[in-house]
Amino acid sequence: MVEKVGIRVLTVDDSRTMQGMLRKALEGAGYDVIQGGDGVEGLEVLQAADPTPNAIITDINMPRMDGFEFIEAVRALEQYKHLPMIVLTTESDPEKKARARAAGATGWIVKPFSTDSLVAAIRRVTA
Amino acid sequence: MTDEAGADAKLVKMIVFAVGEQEYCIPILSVREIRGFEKTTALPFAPHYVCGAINLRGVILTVIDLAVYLNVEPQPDNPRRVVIIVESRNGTVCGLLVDRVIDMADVNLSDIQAVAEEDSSLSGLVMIADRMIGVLRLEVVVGQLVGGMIS
Amino acid sequence: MSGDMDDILLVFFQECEEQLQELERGLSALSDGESGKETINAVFRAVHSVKGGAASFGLENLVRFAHVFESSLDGLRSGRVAPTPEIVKTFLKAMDVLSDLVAEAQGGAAVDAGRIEESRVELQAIIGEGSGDAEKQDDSVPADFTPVPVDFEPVMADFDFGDFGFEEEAPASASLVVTFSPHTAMYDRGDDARNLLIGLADVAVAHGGVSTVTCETAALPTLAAMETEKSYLSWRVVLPAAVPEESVHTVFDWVNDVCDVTITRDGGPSPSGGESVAEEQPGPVVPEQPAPAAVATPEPAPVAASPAPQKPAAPATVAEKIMAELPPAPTAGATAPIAAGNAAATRRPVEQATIRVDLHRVDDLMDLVGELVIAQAALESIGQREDGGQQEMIKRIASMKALTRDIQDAVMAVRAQPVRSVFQRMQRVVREACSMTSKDVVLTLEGEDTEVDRTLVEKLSDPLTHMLRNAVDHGIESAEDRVAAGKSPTGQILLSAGHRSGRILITIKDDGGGINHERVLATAVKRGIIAPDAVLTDDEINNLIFAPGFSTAATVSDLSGRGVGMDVVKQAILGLGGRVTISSVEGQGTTFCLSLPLTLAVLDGMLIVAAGSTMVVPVSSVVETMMVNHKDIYMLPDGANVVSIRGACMPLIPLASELGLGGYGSGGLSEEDVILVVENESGARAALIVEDIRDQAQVVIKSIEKNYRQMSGVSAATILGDGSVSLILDVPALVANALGRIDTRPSDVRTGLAA
Repeated sequence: MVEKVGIRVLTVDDSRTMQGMLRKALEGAGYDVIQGGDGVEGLEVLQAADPTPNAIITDINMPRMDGFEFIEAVRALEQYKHLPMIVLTTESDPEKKARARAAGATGWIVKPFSTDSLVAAIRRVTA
Repeated sequence: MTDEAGADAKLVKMIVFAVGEQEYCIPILSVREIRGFEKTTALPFAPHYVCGAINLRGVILTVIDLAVYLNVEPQPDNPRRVVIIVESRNGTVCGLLVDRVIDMADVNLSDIQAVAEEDSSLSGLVMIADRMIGVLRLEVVVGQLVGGMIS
Repeated sequence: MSGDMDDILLVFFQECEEQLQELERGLSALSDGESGKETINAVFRAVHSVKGGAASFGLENLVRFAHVFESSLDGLRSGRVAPTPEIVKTFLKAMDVLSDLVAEAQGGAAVDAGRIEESRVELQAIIGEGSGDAEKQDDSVPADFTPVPVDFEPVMADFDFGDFGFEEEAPASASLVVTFSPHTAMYDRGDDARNLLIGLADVAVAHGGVSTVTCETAALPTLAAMETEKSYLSWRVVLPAAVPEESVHTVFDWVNDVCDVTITRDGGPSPSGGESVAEEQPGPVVPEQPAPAAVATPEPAPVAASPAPQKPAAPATVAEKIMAELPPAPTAGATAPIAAGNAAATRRPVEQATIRVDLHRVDDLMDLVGELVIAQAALESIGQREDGGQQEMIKRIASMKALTRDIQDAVMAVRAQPVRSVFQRMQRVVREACSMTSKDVVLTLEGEDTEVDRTLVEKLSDPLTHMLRNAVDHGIESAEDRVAAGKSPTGQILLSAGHRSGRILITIKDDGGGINHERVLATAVKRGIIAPDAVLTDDEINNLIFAPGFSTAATVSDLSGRGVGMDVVKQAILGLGGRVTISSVEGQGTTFCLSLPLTLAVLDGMLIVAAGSTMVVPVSSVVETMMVNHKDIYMLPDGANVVSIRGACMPLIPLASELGLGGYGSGGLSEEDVILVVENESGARAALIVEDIRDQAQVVIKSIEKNYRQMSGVSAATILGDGSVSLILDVPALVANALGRIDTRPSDVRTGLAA
C-alpha cells in the first residue's frame, strides 16, 4: 500500500520497542528498513546487506558496542566513508554530541522522535 | 442469583426436554450443543449420577445422568437419549443426559412459581401448553461437580 | 495505525519485563559485591531503556521516575557513587517502584505517590541532589522528555511557529543571506552541502517563501589539480526576510565545526557576524552574481549513496533471536486457587503473547517439518500404487511416527523458557516479606537457566511466592533467636532449579529453625487433623503442614494472616502434575523439594486396563511389570495386601477397587491380572494390580479439573486415538495412600516394609 521510495535505512538500537517504532515510522514512509540490536550486530547487518543501506540511524547507549564505537567502526570502512549516520538518543549532552561529531555522525535526533521529524531527517540526508 | 429476580415480564427462551415422564427446561442461552449419547469413561469416586467423561473436540467433560440425579426412573433403552452440553454461569461445562428433547418455549420469568428453597436444583415450575414443567437451576446441578477433592 | 502502536506498546511492556529482570540481576550482582563495569552498565541501560520507551508513549509517571533513577545510576557509572549495601538497597527499592509503575502503565493499580516520592528523594540523595524541591524536580526532567518532537540539528527546519513573534520584529525588507563553505571534514561525516541546502529551503518554506541558491565555483582548481574528495565549493543562499537567524543557526548547528557560515541581512545594516566557530578567517568570496532562479546543485565529489562494492552475501549470522508467535497459553489446569486476591496478582504482567526463541531451534523445527512433508508425499505415492504397498506403507508410517515425535520435541524446545524470570521475581517477594517481618534474609538463586515449558514457568510463580513468604515468615527465626543459636543474624534461603530424570526439581532451602515436631503435632491435634494418640513418622509430621487449615505460627503475622496455607500450595503443585517433599533438621533448617514435569503438554504413558477402562500410567514411574504369583501375596489382618517381590515387600493396590470403580472384588485376583511395580519420586514402591497392559504411547495431557473436581489417584486425563477419554493415574498419590494405610499400623509391620 505504501509506495516504496527505494531507500534503505539501517536502524541500530537495543530496544525492541524503539526498533518497532522506527520500523513503523520508516516503513510507513516507504523506506526499506533493516535492523541491528547493538553495534556489533549493526555492523554485521550492514556488511551483509545487499543493497547497502542509504542511511543509518543509531542509538548511543547499547550493550557490546555503543553508538560512538559503531559510528567510528563504520566510518573506518572505506565503502561507508560517506554513509549518512544519524544518532537517535535520549541524550542531549553537548559533550556527547561532540563525541558523536568526532566519531563521524551526520546528525543527532533526540528521542522520543516524531515520525515526521524522523522521516524529514532521513529524506534530507538521502535526497 | 434467582432467575426471576427483578424481571417482571422478561421472556426467556427455554429448551424443554424430558427425563422419564417428567419435563424440565433450561435457558437456551446456556446450551452449547446437543449430541448423541456415546460411551463415557468412568470416573473414580464419582457421585452416582455422574455417567463419566466424554471428549468434546479435545475438551474433557463430565456427563450427568439427569434421571439419576433427579430420582426419576431412567430409560436406558431409549434411542432418543441425548446429551445436552451446557455451560453454567460460572463457566463450568458439562453434559446432561436426558431422555429426549421436546421443543423450545418462551417462558415469562414472572410466570415461574417457586417451589423450593434457594439451593434446590429446581428453581420453580412453569405451565407451558398445559404441561407442568420444572425449571432447572443449572448452577446447582453443575456446581456440585467442581470444587473440592474427592477421595 | 493504532493497531500497530498497540503491538509496539506490547513489545514495550514485554521489554520492560526483560529490562526489569536485567535490573534485578544486575542489582543482585552488585549486592553480592560484584561491581564490574559491565554490571553497572547493564543496570544503567535497563533503566535507560525503560525510560526511552516510556517517553515514546508519553508515560509521564514512568518517565519521570525512571529519569531520576537513571541519574542516580549515572552517579554509579561515573564512579561518583560507590555501590555500598545501603545504596544498593535504595536501588532495589527504586526498582520495585519502577516495576510497579510499569504495571500501572499497563493498567494495573496506581502506585502510591508517597512511595514514589520517598524513593525519589532517596535516589536524589545518593547523588547529592536536593530533595523535595519541586522546582528541582522539574528541572531534572529535561524538556525533551515530553513526548513531542524534536531536535534534528544538522538540517532540521525549525517548525516552531512560536518563532513568528520573532520574525515580526525583523526588518521586513531585509532578506537573510547565508553563505557557507563546507570543509572536507564535513563530507567525511557523510554529510553534504545538499543536505544543508535542503534544510535552508525547508526553513524558507516554513516561513512562507523560497530560497534562492547560488553556487560559487571560483575556488575550483583545474581538473588535473583537483583532489576527488576535497571540498572546493561554497554557496550563497538568500532566504525570505521572515526567516529568523535562529532557524539558520539550527540548520548549521551540527556542522558548525566543519563548515564556515556567515549570515547577513541583505539591505539591513547589521551583519550578525561570522558563524564560523572553528576559525575566524575571512569567509569565502561571494561575488554578487545575479541569482539564477534555480541552480541545480552540483553534486560534490563524494556521493553518499553510491552503492558499496558488492560482497558475497554473508550468512545470516545476524538474527540470533526471533519472535515466535504462539497462541495464548492453554487455559488448561485452571487450578491456581492461590491467585485469589494476593499481592502478586497485581504485579502479574499481562500474559505475554510472544516469546523470544533461539533461531536454531526454529531452524531445527523447520528441517523436521520439511522431512514431514517429504514423508507425507512418499505415503501418498504408496497409496497410489497398484499393489497397495502394505509393507512399504507400514515402514513409512513407522518413520513418520518417529518424525512426529521429533517435531514434538522440537516444538517443546521452542516453548521452553528458563525459570529465570520467575526466580528473579522471588527476590522481591523475599525483600517484601523481610520488611514485613523485620527479618534480614538473603535469597540466593541457582540454576535460573533451567528450562521448562513456558506454561509451567508462569504457573510456578504463585506457589513459589507462597513458599518463599512462608520460608521468611516461619522458616527463618528472628535475628535475636538466630544469634542466640549461634547463627549469623542474616538468614539464608537458597532457591535452586535443575533437571533430574526428565523432571524439573526446584528446591527451597532455608537455614532457619527447622520444623518443630512437638509443636506441629500439638497443633495438628488441637485442630483435629490427627487423633491425639496417632503415631506418626517424622516425615508424616513434616507433611502435616500441608494439611488444610494448618499454621504453626504462634502469632498470626501480616504474611500468614492471608488465609492461604501450605495446603493450597500443595494443591497447586499437584495440579501441575508435581509433588512436594519436605525434609527438615531441627535447628538447621527446612528444605522443600518440588518435582515437576517439564511440560504440561505431553507424557510418555503406559496404557493399562482397570475396571474395563483404559488408563495411563506415566512410564517414568513404572519400574517393572510381572504376572501375579499368588504365593507372594500376603493378606494383612484388615484385608490390605502386601506383595513380596524378590524379597522386597510393598503394598499391593488393586487398582479398580482403589479407584472405587468396583468390578473386581478387592480380594479376588484373577490369573490374568498383571502387576505393575511403580515408584514415587522418593523411591517408595507399590504394586498395582491391573487387568491388562496394552501399549506404550505418548499422550497429550488434558485437564479435567476445569469442569470437574480433583480425583484422588488421578492427575489428569487424555484422549486416546479412538477419541475416548482415558484417565492418567497419579502414581505418587496412589503410592502414598497405600503406604499411609499400612505405615500407620504398628511398628513391627512398618519395619518389615521399610526396605
